[in-house]
Amino acid sequence: MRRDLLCAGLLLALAVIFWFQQDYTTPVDAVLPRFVLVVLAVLGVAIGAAALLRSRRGREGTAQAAAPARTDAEGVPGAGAAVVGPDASPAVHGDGSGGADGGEDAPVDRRVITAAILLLLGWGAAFGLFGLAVSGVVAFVATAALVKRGFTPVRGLLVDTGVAIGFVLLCFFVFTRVLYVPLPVSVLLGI
Amino acid sequence: MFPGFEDALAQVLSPPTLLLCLIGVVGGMAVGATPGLSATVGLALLLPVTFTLDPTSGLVLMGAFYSGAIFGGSFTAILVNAPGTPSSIATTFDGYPMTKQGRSETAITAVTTASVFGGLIGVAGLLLLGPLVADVVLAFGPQEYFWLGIFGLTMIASLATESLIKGFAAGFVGLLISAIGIAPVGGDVRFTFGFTEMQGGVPLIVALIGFFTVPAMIDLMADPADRSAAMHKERAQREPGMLARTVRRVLSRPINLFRSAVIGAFVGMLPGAGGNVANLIAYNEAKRASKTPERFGKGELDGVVAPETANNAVVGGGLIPLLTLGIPGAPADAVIFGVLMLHGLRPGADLFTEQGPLTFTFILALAIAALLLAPVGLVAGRGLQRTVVRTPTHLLVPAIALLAIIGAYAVRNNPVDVVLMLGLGVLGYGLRHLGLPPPAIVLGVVLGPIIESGLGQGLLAASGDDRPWLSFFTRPISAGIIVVVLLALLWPLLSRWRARRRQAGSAAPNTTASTGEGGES
Repeated sequence: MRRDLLCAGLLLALAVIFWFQQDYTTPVDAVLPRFVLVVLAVLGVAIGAAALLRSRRGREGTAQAAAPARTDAEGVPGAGAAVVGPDASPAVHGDGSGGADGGEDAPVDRRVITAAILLLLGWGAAFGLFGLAVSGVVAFVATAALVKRGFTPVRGLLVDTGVAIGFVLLCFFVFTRVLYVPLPVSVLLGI
Repeated sequence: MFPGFEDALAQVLSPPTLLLCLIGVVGGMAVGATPGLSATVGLALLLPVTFTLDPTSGLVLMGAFYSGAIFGGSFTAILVNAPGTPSSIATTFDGYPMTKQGRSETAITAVTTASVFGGLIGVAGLLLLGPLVADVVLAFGPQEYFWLGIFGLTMIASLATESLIKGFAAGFVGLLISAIGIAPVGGDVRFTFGFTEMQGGVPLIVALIGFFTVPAMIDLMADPADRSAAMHKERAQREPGMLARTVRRVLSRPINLFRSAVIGAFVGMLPGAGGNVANLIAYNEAKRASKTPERFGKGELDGVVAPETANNAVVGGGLIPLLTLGIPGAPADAVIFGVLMLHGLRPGADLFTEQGPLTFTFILALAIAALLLAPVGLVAGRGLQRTVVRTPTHLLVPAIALLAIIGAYAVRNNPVDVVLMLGLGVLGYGLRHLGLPPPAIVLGVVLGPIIESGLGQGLLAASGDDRPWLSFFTRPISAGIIVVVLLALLWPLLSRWRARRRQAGSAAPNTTASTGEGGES
């Protein structure tokens, strides 16, 4: 439910924020964007309402199930377990990959994900500021270290750095000399 | 048969022309496999080279390069979830899951077979039906393009695995992203939040790399063991005869191949549509026609065959309006149009009569290029695949990241696009966890400009009418597409009803189990 409410909130927020960014001089330019924003808001409300409704039904179902389950448990063992709320058992796809609410992936270390996102965003920002070579080699080695989960032996670090320098230089020469893409360069290194 | 055809056949089979075809295919494949460098960019880079060649050689090289680039886009789509060109968007849907299951070599072999088939059908269409179908293309107005875009949006029903409503929400987020920047009709600046850099909008390639590649990179960083296991499985299950088996399996589904090729050739003919739309429609139709649609998106072979057949058929299809009417079907065709103009060749009926040998050499060279995709794809493509499989995850992830960053930058030589790409990628990763599928967002980004241009131009064109809106419903071709849209929307309900009837009919427990990897209804 929390995911659905977050999703609904995000869609509504997008619709509201973008709505105040509108300023048209040609009416025809407003037709599709306004329609899109209205639909996003409506879908957001629908997703949120459906989530709240499901949650309410789930709570009612669980409450109703509690009493018979206790009774059944005394009489026919296990019979009460069949009565569950709609949210209690997510559907499973044919390949067992998760179900209706199965967007929840296997638990992963949130710190690693946060670090990965920050590293990528940092690399993107550094690319324009420090050029391909400097940002590329540093971020390449840092990414390799993150994938290997932290400390690596000096030899491994040297190998990764060597690969990083080689790959970055190869990319630099292919893109600048063969494909004529003017990649950003470091002011200090000129590359 | 055709005036000058025999001369063209002799020329195209000469060693220098065959060599040019090979160089073009290999070069195009390399560019196509690089995220951020589309076929159009590659052709534009090649343009100065053709100045030094005679018109025939220049066109042969361009045609072969174009075929190779469209084909090459599938490799990175399959191996690292980064479509090399927008024509391979749908290839990621099943191609990357196949890689995650350790079946990337099968996927590469399948797309190679499909690409050869699609390329040949596209050329056959160009050769045999070109002048006939060109008139139909002219009848397509803005209203028809609008409905074509809406038809594309019905594909969300296929992409929304978790919830249809969230699938549509994702599609509309994509439409919203496509609306950023200068409006295509009136020129109003929208949703830029004061940043002048955003006036050019969000380039499709930047959105593609962001929504597909960045979440895949984050996944790899978060769980590298998952890929290691898949790659180990890939190496372990490599067995002799896989190549012939996969080719047989692809060819054993002729309906899927023909349907996808026809879709590709037809959509290719429509100016402004091209491979990025054709591959999505072909994927959707393959899923709709399949007896096992639930396997799509999880590594279904037909799911990589359909888009790759279609996008290679686009090459021949797109040249039909170009060579007959002088209207480029896709941006890449516009570059080829430039080569024609450069050498003083005017598209039209004269091109097929007065310049017959040249024109037919070009068309036949496309067929040769399509055939060359097989050896080149099976050698170079599988070589790339094996290299990727052998590369340790801790080196592969930063390598993909670097290529993605350069690819996003190369679109407009603008560092802001890199940050935009990474921002969209992180957004896509977050939205995926909220149940909004990134492929549906990309679908919206692809179709948004087509829908909005069609809508705006259609309203302006009919502004003299009392009710301009009615023009979207009263034109015969529009009405035909509306019927197809309605059928596409009703199809899931119909399928469910049929499945329920089948279940009711075969209540006995000993029903025949499904054994294949999909199939045609």
